[in-house]
Amino acid sequence: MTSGPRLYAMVYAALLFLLGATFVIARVDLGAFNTVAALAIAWLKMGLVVAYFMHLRDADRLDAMLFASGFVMLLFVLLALTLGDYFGRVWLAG
Amino acid sequence: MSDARAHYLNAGHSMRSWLLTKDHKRIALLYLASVTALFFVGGSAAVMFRLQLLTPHGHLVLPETYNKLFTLHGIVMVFFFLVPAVPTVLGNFLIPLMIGAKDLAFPRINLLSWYLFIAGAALALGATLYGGVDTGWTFYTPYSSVFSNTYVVATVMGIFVAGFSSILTGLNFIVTIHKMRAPGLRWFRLPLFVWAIYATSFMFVLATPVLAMALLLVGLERVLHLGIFNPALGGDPLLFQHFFWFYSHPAVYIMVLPAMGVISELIPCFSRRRLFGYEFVVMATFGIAFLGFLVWGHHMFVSGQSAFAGLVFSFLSFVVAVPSAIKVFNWTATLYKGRIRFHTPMLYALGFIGLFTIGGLTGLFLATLGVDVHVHDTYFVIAHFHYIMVGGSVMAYLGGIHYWWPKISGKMYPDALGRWAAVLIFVGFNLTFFPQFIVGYLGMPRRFYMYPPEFQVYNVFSTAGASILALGYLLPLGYLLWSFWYGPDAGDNPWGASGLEWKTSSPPPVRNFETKPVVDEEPYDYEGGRYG
Ligand SMILES: [Cu+2]
Repeated sequence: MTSGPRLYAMVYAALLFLLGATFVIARVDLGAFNTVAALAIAWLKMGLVVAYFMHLRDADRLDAMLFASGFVMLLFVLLALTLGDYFGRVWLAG
Repeated sequence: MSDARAHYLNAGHSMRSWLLTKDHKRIALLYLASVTALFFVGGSAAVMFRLQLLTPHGHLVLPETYNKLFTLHGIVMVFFFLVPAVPTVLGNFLIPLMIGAKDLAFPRINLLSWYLFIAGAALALGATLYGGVDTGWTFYTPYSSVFSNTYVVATVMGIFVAGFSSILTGLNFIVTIHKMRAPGLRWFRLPLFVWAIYATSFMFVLATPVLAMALLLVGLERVLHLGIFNPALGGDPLLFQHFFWFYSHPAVYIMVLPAMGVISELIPCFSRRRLFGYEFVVMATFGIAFLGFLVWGHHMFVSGQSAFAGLVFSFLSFVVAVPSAIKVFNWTATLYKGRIRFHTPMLYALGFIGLFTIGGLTGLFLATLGVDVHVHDTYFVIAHFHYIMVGGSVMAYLGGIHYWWPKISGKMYPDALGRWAAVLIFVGFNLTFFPQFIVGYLGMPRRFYMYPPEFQVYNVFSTAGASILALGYLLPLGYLLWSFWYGPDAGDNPWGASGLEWKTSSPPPVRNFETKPVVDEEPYDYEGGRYG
């Protein structure tokens, strides 16, 4: 398996490629799918950074648990409940 | 003379040996001095606006000054006293001792945390000296981000910097508790104080970044005129409230969980009984830590949040009361048929149970949508959260300080005087805040400079109570400081308490234990005959 500087360079190249993809897709009109595509690419980038640069790929249980709890809190709880308010304004207007 | 023996207090007397120390016990004392000073800063602000509120149309301070005083009180007490107090003082001192370790996992980061805390406090207090802030401790937008002509940016940056102190402290505790427990100290043998600090550390790590980000955005909107919260630029003011309370509701549990951890140590020791339902208290701790993240919208019932979200947050807020109630019942059950001894720490613990219960139950009133419409932003809310934060957290903090003081200082304070102070604080507290339930129910809004004359009698009670409370807080400051130098030697385990921290000498040696401890007993083994 590749490791060391070579691996980091490859991940970095992949990130730059995804950055380019973000840029290109933003220029194409896909309607609502622009957001979906942008978010999907953002997730990919995050995954790469977390797995390789932050070494979560070879982390122990404690690191994984910390990461998972942060993920659940920020993405699920903060996003879902806040959006629950914004969408709820339409569902139960008045 | 105990000074014949080497311990952490006499291991160097220079300024440098304190300010560059990596010893968790010395860092705990640095925090103790800092948060005590900040507590009296926040308290003085409260004394001033309580005097202003003695009369309906008082002119002791200008209206602008009044706004800055209650803002200063809130910011200092919440971010620079209540949030850090128990974890950084008692947590720092006790976590390594309780798990039989030499120090925290990252001693240098621990010292860095204290410097970050001091830098944050200096920024926030510096802004106060320049002229202060008038937004309230909640920094609601767009007032804070557009309209207020006060030192908002410096203050939020102070809280931002202090936030990193919280995050690093939390990480330090998590790693320490995972990696450095003594042989035999299995997870379910950990003292409940350690469990409480462990759960709180997760909340530090998960919630604080959201507050830091929200305050940073307020600063950016003020300086760069970005449209994030300002509706005139396409922003949404409610978004700030979501971010702010995503931290600040869990912050209530950051203040209360460690306090509950202290109480779970005091009650078994002074009842001479094993804590009732140890596993349930552990589960309830995590139940509170998790559910505490799901209820923030109860601060936004009347601020334009959707009725749907209001419904969900109201329901979840009722749910979080369940694990808190489990703990209250378990402490009470521990007292049952115990051999109760009314030393100073125990008086604080009993006070905590009563006052926390009142605070918690009135929280259910406020979690009820229909009731909240009437009492929101009144003194009812003020009374409710002071019962939780002062009646709960501050009582537990003082109880903990009195309980572990013989370990920290090696000296004993006059217990009779301590009991008098505890009673004084209990009476002063209730006299201050109980009338606020009534005057709030009658409709007196919070944060107002003037009020209708018919509310005066309640405000007179409140101000009188605040004076008693102030005296009550000055007493321990006096006799604890006195005992530090002149008190009689306390011995290693004056309360006959279980727990590793009592098995080393007082004050502990620099490396905490002369020989590496091994744990072969269940927690709180007060009925097994080992502790008399
Ligand atoms: Cu809340």
